[in-house]
Amino acid sequence: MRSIRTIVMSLLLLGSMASNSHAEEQVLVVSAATSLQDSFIEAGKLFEHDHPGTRIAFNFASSNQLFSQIEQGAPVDVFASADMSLLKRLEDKSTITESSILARNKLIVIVSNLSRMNINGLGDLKKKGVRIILAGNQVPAGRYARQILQKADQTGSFGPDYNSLVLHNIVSEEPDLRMVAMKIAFGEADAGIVYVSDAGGDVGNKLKTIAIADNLNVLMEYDVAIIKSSAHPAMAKSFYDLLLSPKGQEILIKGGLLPAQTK
Amino acid sequence: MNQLKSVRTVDNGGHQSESWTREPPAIVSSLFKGGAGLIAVLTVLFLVVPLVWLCLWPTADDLKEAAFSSMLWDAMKISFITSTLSTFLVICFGGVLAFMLARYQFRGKMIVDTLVDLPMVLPPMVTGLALLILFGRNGPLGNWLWNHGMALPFTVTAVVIAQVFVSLPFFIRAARAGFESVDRRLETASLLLGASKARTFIKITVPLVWPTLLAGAILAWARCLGEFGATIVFAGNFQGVTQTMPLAIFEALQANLGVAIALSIVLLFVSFCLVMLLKFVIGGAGVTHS
Repeated sequence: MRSIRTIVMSLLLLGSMASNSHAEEQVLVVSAATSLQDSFIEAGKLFEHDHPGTRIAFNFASSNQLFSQIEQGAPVDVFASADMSLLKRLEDKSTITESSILARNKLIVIVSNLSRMNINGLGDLKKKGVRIILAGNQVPAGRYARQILQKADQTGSFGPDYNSLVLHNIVSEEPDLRMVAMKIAFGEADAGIVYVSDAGGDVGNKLKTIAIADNLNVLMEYDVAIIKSSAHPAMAKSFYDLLLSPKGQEILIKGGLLPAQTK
Repeated sequence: MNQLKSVRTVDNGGHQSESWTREPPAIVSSLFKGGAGLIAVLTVLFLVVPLVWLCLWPTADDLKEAAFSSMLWDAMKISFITSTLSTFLVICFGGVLAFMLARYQFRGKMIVDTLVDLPMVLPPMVTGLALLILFGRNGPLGNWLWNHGMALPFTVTAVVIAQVFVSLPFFIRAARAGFESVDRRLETASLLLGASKARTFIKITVPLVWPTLLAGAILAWARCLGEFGATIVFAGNFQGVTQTMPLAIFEALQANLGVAIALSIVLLFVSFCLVMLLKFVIGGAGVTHS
């Protein structure tokens, strides 16, 4: 009996804690692609500082997962996607009220400092025995990486069968670029293709980066949108505006991204 | 009528358990039965309704696309081969440990017992990370392997290692309980009648614990089949090599929810049939699963 009473008491206590704790706080739910994590957390801090009583709850995952959640009616206020096609699909269903290009990003080749292979450029990825990791085909960045390989193949300057030789060297297709960068930093594979923004941070000093020429590279866009069903449209709009303001753009550039407006 | 009486039972393992029972008035008894029945029905519905809804969700096109994808068949093959192999290893190694834990007293047994259960509470992603930093190129074991020309990450061996790690505790728990519940007098009788220790183990002990071992093995197999987090972190994801069903479902999820659900249904259905078949075969062989 005593134990039952204890359990009931603690459940009641938990319940009251859950309902009381954020009673006066407004919570803005922001779903963002994983690669935006660091920049968004910083932008969030700035926003919370400027808007006392507001808390931002971030939901970081792959753009596709976030998209599925929104499609299934998850209560999201702002959505930042790394996949341009997803926003178009939300627009078609008039799920969003406003959208804009948030930032741009480019792909680069990363090589593990532990690699014993001599990799100095895109061309070396076809060498026999090079262990390559890319993001899966379903991930936009994984698709873009394959597009780069195809384009490189078509120029003819990387030798015959370049594309298929490189694809043959793939040992894993990871769910996101963070995993690609982390495993290459660990030395589990020799090289991979990731966004510029993924090659910094804690893995930065364990990797060598090699730029990919602009004519082969995919200049990708991050988009940001306000979701129509937002419970705090005004608040969502001001976070959206902050991201596009010079201050917000500066934070994104510091995170390794390229600005939304190309000069 | 409301008199309390103590019922004391002593089971074969020498464990004592005590329970208090009383006979309540008829109305209370039927109310209680009704309430229990309602809870039981709600519990079954809670477990079954999401799965039924899952099965109804995808369109025929989703199912068709899933059924004809090379991803499905590759992943099915990898999943069933690895989880069956893993379960076999779990039975061999886990069985010995479970027997020792059930029959022998040794210093630090409590600690070993608790340690063995730990993988169950560890988030699988963390398990994957732990395996990666140990068996990976920088890890003490991985480095040694690497210098001998072997690399575990991104191989099917890594898939099996991850599965064995996460499923061992499930089997050990079940097998240990089984070995503890065996009536030791039957073994003693067999030994006294001149049977060797090995013969006694195979002819007496194993048949007695068989249902429990089977239940543990099914549990371990199911855990292997569903394993995701440790596999994707440690073994990576490559179709036809390390991509098991959960990984294929995850990959499909990133492109098409319907196809991902269709793949899940196939996994659910095949697993259900296999477990049913196994229980049926064992049941038919004269051993009832208690």
